[in-house]
Amino acid sequence: MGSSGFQVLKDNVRALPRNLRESILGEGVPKSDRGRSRAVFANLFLHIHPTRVHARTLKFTQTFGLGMISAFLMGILTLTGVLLMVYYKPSTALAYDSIKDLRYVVPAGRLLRNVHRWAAHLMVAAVILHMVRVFYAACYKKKRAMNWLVGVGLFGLTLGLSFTGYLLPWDQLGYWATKIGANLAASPREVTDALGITAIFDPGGIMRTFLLGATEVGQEALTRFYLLHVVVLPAVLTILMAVHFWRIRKDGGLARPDGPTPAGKGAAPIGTEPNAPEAAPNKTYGLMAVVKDKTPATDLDPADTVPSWPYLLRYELLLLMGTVLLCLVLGLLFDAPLKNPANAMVPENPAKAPWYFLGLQEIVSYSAFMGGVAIPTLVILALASIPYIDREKEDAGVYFASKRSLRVAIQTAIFALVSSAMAVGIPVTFGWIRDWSPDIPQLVITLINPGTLLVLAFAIWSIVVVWRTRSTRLGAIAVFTSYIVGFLVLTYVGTYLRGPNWDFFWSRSSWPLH
Amino acid sequence: MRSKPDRSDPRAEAVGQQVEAQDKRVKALLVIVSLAVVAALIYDGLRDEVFPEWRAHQREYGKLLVAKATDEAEREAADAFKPAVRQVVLPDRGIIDRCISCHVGVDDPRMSDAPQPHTSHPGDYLKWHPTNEFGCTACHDGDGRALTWDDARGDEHWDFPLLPVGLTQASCGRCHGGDDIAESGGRLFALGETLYLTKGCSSCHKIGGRGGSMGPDLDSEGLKIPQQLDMTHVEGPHTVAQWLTEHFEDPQRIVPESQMKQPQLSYHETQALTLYMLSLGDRGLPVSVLAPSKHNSLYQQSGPLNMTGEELYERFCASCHDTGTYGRYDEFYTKFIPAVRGATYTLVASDEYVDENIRRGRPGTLMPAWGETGGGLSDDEITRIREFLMEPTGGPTHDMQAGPLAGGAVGGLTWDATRGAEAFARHCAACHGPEGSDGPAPELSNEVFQESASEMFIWLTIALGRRNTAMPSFLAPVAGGLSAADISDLVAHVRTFSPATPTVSAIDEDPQASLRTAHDSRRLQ
Repeated sequence: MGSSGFQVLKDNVRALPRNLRESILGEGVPKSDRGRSRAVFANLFLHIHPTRVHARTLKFTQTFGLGMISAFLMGILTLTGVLLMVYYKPSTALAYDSIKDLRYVVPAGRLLRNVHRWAAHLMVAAVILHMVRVFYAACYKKKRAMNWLVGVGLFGLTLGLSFTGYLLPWDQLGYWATKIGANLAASPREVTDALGITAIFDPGGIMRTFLLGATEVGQEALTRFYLLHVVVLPAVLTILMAVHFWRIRKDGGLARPDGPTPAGKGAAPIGTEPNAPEAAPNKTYGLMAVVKDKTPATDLDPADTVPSWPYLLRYELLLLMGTVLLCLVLGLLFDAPLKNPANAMVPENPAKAPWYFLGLQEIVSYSAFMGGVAIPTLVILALASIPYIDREKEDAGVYFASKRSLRVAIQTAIFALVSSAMAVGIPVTFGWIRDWSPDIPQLVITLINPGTLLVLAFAIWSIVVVWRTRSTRLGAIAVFTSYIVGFLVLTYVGTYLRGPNWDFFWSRSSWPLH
Repeated sequence: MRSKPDRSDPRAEAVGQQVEAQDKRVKALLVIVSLAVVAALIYDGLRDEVFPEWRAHQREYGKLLVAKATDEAEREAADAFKPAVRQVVLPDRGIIDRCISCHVGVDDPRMSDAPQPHTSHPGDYLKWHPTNEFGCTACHDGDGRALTWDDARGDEHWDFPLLPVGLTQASCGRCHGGDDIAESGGRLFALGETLYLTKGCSSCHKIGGRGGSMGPDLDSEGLKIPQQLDMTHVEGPHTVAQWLTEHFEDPQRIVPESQMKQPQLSYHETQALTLYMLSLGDRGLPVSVLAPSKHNSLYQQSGPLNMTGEELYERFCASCHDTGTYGRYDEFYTKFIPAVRGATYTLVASDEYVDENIRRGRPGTLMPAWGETGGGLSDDEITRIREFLMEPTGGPTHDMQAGPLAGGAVGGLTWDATRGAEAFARHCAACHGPEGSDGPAPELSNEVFQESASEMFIWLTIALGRRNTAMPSFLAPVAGGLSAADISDLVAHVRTFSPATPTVSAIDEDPQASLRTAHDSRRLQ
């Protein structure tokens, strides 16, 4: 007995490496489609994917990979961010020096910060482009409305993360950008002052105090921004991201038109094969049984699906490596800016917010409340309500599914281009109400300024489109296109054509020297 | 890895082929992109960690050490030399200086003939300021944390860029006064300090709360950063030092609206004054590191001035009033500057009048207030200045009595402001301005003048004029001159410029008798 007990022990020890491997990796690298599918399903990290994926969603132009790229950028930001936290000290006295040390002596610290900075900028861009892509492919319809809402939330969180990160180096750039942000938070005073009720009702002051923890940008603000940047916003964003992915799965994978996929160029156009009885599913996948509605497997086109492993996973890996490469190359070529240490006595002129806020800053130059609070709120609400206003059935996952939609988009783009350029050009050339009548109450300018008139023009244009085409989808295209084009034009102007005192300059070289 | 869809389904076959073709491209791209990522990481590692600037310098320095080793101990030390980031950390001064990572030989006298960055520090500065106790940026400024020459200079985005070699002495003034270093390496700084005190800068500028108010206070001039200055008209590099230098050469070229006169300095003196300006300002250094001469200098800036009236006059008054014995016309400000030591002035002005006018100045004019709340002079110091003004300057005084006043023209004074207005327009307005202001001559509507000048003072000033100035004597018994009564009317009119005391009550006093009394006691009471 003793020897056989010893034998069991010996055998188990000898088998330990194999058993360990099996317990972790299961049967090892799966060799068959079935095995790979099971692995995708059973693995916590892979099960966010369906076991089989529709061939159409693997086409690059279908998504341009923008959603995944955004998520990967978030991953890169988390990784580099945590590493930066090792050295960063969130105190007004030490923050700037700790960034300098990262830049000068921490191994790879310079690259870490550069990549973090570039990934942040790229993420804002990727999220915006992702939204554009999803919109024009009409992927927000019906039950996907909820995920569109989550997406709008993620967009806001991305901007919030970027903005809170801006202050952390405690240099002039971040300090004065935050100062602008604080002034925007306090901007409802523009209205309450005009009404004379600031003393009893001061939402602007409350918001600013909530943001800064004080009346000025100082240690309290830095602590708050740091916490928001490294804990609160990333946590919320991660949760919403999980919901976002989860909804994609529950809504039946990436949106795509009904019917089978054309296999290769010139194949059967979409929708030519009706719900023919002979096309009824001849396979089912038990894994997907609990998923309601259309799924990759129980639909008409099981043959159009391919296993996620390897096709989807490899594709995603390529996107990930591509994103990493882009960040690395940008990080190697362009150092993240670090200006002079924050100095409350030396205002930056011009003090510019990050580029994605410069469109708003253009409007802010007339009315802080409109540009900083009212119009952004309006735009976010309009974006969020798109799937609830537009309930038309349209092929999802197809860009400009009808010719009319492309035509309306182009017409709207031209209209928005001209009207945005006018909103900038007319005040620059002729001045605005304040120049003509210096004593005018600010409330009038708050209500009537290039920003509000531009939004009004967009609204009227969109209503006219709905009225003439009787299509809410076309109306939505008008709203969305005009916002995007207006955003681009104003951002361009704010970035390249505005100099000291927010004066207009055709080029940076004509700025007065300082 | 091919998927195996139902072979009986031709469409599945087509899809499979299409996906397979794409997967091939994905695989190829994945290999390329992954290699590129690895290459990018290796490149960064090589650039920043393996071949940074400082390592190259230290490799060369190691060779220099070996070459210069003369005995066994030095050869051992040379062999033991290992490249590493070297730094001076002085927590209480907020200094982390890594400059010695490239300037390793800065305190090694054997390196005196080595090229930069290996050469040893010139002079005996390090004897008194060892690198490990003072760091480098304490004197040189620049970004001490940096590890490359470009970053260390701090030309961009750094508040205090590396001081140009000729201006390093500016930092001497952070811990020293000029006295004790003039002969030991701080000569230029000491010269700058002297220039500031002797060139009349204090007439318009304050340091330590003492000085005139026409120009900006200079207490923190050395803390200015380039972004605070308008560099539009600066021709050289856009640094604070360059701004100051070019500004001293021609103030109006750099600041078109500047009220500052060109200080008339040699190139050498301009450098000295520039670096003195750069030395000004509290860098938050612990008091314990300041040299006694610095404490002394700080005390002298704001403590009581142990100076004679003449010395005070030279420092604070002479740049406008010059010797004070004649009426100077200042072409720059297009104003007449009164002869405050002139015989006629000291004869008619009372002590109280002089003190009051120094203490409160003439608000709104070139003459600032010099009292405690103004230019920072104590009553005692003002008294000393007044006593110096009142000292006889050698000009004849008694012939005034024999002059116009001797005509006996006094009597029947009317003090009629209406008649005075006509005379004022005819005789006075050209210089003093029609409303008693805005002319080149002193402002008669000025509140301090109106409050401190007695009617008798004004009467006598008009009657006698101010010798050696543009103000003539108006009391003349000859045709076209003014009579005593005319002058009293003028005085009445001058009083209307004052909002506080717009009228005078007729004074039944004989000016001639007053003057005679004044002359007897040398001054009008």
